[in-house]
Amino acid sequence: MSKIGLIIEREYLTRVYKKSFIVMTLTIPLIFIALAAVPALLSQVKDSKAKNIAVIDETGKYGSVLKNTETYNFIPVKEISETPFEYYKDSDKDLYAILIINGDLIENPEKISIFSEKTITPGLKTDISSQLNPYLTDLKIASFNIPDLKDIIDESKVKIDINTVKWGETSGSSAEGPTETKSSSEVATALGFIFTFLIYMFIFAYGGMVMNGVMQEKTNRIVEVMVSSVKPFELMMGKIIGVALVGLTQFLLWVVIIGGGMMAFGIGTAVSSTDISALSQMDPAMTSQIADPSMIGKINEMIAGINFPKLIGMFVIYFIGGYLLYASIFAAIGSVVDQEADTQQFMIPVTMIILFAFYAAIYSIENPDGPLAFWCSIIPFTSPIVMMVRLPFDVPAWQLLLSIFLLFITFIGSTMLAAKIYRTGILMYGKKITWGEMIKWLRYKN
Amino acid sequence: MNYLETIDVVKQYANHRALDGVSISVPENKIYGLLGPNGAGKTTMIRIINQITAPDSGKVLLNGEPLKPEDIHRIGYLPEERGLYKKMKVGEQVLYLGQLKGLSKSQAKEKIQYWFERFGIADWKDKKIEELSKGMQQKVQFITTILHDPKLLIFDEPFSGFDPVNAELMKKEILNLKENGATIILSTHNMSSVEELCEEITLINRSKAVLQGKVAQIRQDYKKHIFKVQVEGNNFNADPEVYSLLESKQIEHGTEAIIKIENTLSNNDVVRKLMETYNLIMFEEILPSMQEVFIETVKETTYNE
Repeated sequence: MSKIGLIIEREYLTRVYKKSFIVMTLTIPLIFIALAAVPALLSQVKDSKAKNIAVIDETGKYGSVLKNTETYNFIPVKEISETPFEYYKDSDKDLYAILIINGDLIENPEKISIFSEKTITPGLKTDISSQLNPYLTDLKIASFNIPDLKDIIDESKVKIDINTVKWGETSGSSAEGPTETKSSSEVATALGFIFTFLIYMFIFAYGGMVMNGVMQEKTNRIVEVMVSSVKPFELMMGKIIGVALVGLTQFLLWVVIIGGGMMAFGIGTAVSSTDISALSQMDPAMTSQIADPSMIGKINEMIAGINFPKLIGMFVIYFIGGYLLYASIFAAIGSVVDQEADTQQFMIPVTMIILFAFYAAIYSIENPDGPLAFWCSIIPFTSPIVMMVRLPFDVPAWQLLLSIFLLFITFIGSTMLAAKIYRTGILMYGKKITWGEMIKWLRYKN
Repeated sequence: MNYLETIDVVKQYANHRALDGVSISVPENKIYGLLGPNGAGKTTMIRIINQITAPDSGKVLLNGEPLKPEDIHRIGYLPEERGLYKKMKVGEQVLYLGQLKGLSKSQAKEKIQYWFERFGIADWKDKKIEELSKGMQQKVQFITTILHDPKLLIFDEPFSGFDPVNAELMKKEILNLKENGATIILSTHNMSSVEELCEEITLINRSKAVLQGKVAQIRQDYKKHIFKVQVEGNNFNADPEVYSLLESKQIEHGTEAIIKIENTLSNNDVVRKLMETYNLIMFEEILPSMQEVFIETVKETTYNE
């Protein structure tokens, strides 16, 4: 095997077999899936016991409207002889709160209060208002005394549902027209953000890994033995490529795990859609949307409208380009310092650029075809991060090609410059290196 | 026949000249000392031979031919600052470094087996470097240096970090490597090991080679005409015309003295003169140690600029 191959192999294997890598690779998708699934699961977890709410309705009109839910028992109370507080204390029913209605709610909507010694959960408020509001609305409509007014109003409620359809290439006979895929700008935005964040994270995490690796070899003094066997450039590139493969391995494992998890979860939601009626009792306001049975179908359709292979392919290309660009810089930084604390002064400018790219990406989400998004997705130092936002919105091919071309040209340049700093830096001990010094090294001949 | 030759090697760093026209000739199958105070330029020279850095001018010949990149397979280098991957297992580490020196996996494994058994460390193969004591790490490092049977070995302070027993073991191994045909460059500050091991030396000071030649010859050249004399009786006095008395002490059967004789007189003249007065037991010339030669030369070349 060639020497650089040996170096790549070692860098790759020692990292992939590390416990921390295995743990990270497995837990992050689980966290991701959990984040998606937990809200749904949590809503199914209920308090074992319904809470008792005493309803003192001085008007006598509304007490009966409130129906018990799984979380709350509403107990109508006719009259009390003591103050509400005393009643709350004395009651043998283990009261959670007392609801007092002391006026006509149509005329005075504020004449309703909840008293308790505990902090009232927002759920209780939502629960009460979601039961009382429709009732009061109906009453109010009836009070206008216009025949069939309720039906008229119901009929006049229009909720538009805009389909966004993306024209693809016209295939075959143009008479058929372009292929149509339903797309969703929300899903595209979310995906763009996820990929942006991933690339941002990967550049820092794996660039940092390269830097630490270089620094360790230097402080371990193994580097002198190494460079008596291989060229410094081979050593640097072997490390950079080895770590890149670790990153790609991790990403592909995540795609597989999350993809698999999503599929399993997708099937899960389809099945559990029958449960939704049960769910709607809990939180009618929220579930009314989900309860629409066509919703899940729509989500599936939107996801299906995204070209995942292309997205993932582009992600890999930009990850490689962006990573290589920054990893060589990180390697150069690692080579000039003797200890971690000294990396700060060199890291700050690099971090600033990457952070700028990240913020540019976030602002570009609003306007993925705007000038900021355009320029930042062409300029190599920001393009790997910013382009991710634009990708789900379909970037013109020439822009993609230009951006990728510039990125790869730049990384070749940066690698060559970094290699010059690296080969001098790794053998330089006990000396604080400045930027000026590093620039001088660029002129040293081999 | 010289196995390694450097001709007029110059290496300039930003604001100092690390090597200023240094030429050395290392004869084949000999142990050659590369000496000099800290910062003199030894490490730069070693790095140039290892092709870690390139000279600005001058030539390096290995076996009569200019150094080629493949030549690194023929060189084994033990740097002064030892280093191994701390988290790596001993066996994997040596295998890796051996492969980087051009050995195939199976060749490397075979040799690892041989050397680990020879050094009695076969049980350590699956231990991580960081679990080993410093001396053990040094042994592993030594094996990584010689695993690929290099024709040229460069040892920079090979005995540092070893206890006297293991230092002796290393000394034997180095001599053994020479027996088996290797040419060895030894860079050290330990002058007694230079006297013991090296046939020839170069002393570098201030980026220049200030003293070169065979160890025995150098000690002759630097001799101060000092002799150790033992005579019978308790009386031993200076004879201003023949010698001056540096020190004397009583020993069991007489007196032992250190004398410095006049340059114009031969040893025989002095012995004859002494025999006239004393019953001579012993008459021995004391050659300067390499330590003395080192210090004297460095002082001279440092202050006489």
